[in-house]
Amino acid sequence: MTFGKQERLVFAMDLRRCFAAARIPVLSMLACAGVLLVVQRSDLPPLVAVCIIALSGLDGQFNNIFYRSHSELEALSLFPISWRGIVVAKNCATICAALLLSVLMSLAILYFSPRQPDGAQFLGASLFVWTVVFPLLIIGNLRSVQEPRKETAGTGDALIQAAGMAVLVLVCSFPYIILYTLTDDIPVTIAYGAFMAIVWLIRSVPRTAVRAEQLLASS
Amino acid sequence: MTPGSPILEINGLVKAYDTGHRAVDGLSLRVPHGSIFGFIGLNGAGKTTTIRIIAGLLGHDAGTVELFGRPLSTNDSEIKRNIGVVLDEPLYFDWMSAPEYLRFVGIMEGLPQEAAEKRTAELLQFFDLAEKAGDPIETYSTGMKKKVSLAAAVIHTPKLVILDEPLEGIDALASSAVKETLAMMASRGTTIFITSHVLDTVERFCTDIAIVHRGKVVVECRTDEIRKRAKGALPHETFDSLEELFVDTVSDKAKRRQLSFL
Repeated sequence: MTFGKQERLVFAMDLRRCFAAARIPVLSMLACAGVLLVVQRSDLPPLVAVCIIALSGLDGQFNNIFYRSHSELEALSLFPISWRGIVVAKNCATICAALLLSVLMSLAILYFSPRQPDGAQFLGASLFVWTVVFPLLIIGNLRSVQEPRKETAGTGDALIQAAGMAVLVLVCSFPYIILYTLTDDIPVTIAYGAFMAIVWLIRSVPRTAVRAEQLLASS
Repeated sequence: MTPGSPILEINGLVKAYDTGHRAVDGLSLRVPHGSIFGFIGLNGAGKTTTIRIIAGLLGHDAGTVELFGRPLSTNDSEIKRNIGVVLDEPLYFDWMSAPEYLRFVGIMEGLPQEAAEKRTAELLQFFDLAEKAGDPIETYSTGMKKKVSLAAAVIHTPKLVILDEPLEGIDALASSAVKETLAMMASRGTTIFITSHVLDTVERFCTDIAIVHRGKVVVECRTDEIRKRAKGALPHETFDSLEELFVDTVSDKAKRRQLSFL
């Protein structure tokens, strides 16, 4: 599968949609929650807190990939592009959105943090994202085809969804806690992330593509 | 593919919904290459379901659909690239502005960037959409949305344009421009498959028609044959118009329409 012109366009469209004006109130509230978290919890590395908050703000991006707008699944099906290409483009946009949002939120949250991050904390945060993002994509792809949501959530619903996403992030971070925080085994932590990336690419993406087609046919 | 050969051929198409209702019930038709094909019927006759199946938006339970001589497949990029679709409920990314959306569709359909830009500018002018070019589509009126949808359906000059009620909700000037454009496309070999409730427009505009009733095609003929068709009840008389043929075909004569207070 190549990442051609059409896939790049879907990627750009999806990334842009992630930072739509309607999401700014929710993201701002999450940034405030992040500030409180790093000020109150001295045992939590501030950069990991930033990543948890940023990922929590991307519920729709992870768990509802085919409906950024009401009829997006149907509209995409009219174009000569494979579902596999669409899934990869959208998932890559989600990874970029998570990284961009983490950087943007770090600027706000770390300003208030009593502890400034050092090199080890940057490494810890990078490994956190590496181990968590692919399991989140795998679960998100599954949820996108099992429980698609056509309607865009209002701010209240979006906050509830963000709370649910935070729980999911915490669940997906267990391997990170065991492999890195408790045993400090960096090579195994990297290998785990790589394994999940392979599972995402060779199992989750093709299955989601097939399920998207079935979802369309039954809609 | 030569003029007269079918660009779209459907045989025994069946689609039932979860309720058990058969929206399409053994529908068969042939759409000749280069024709302007009017697909007409009452509300609920099965037109939109058929169109959604042809467009690949809906699966079917039985029967075959062949497009450009190949079996319909939702994965066939070549088929998708050669089709333009306007649905009764237009599909777009309504948070985009019209120029963004048209450029997006153009490039997704395989046009080079410059061609997509150029055609977008022309289409915006043609459909009088330039005035609200900066606003998202979700803020447009129904008529304007329909125009965006039409522009998106033709931007890549497809071989087959499928239009479900394209003239509904747009003003007379735009309607005339749309018909002119479609006729021009047809004269250059594009096949137009259109549904409409405006029967005199269908009669004047289309080269072929099919009347669908209760999920089946009950009449299929060339438009110029309508006035030569003998009435079933009065074999020595012929129909005066498509409307007369349509009413005669689909009306339930046993059920008299009457209001108690009139």
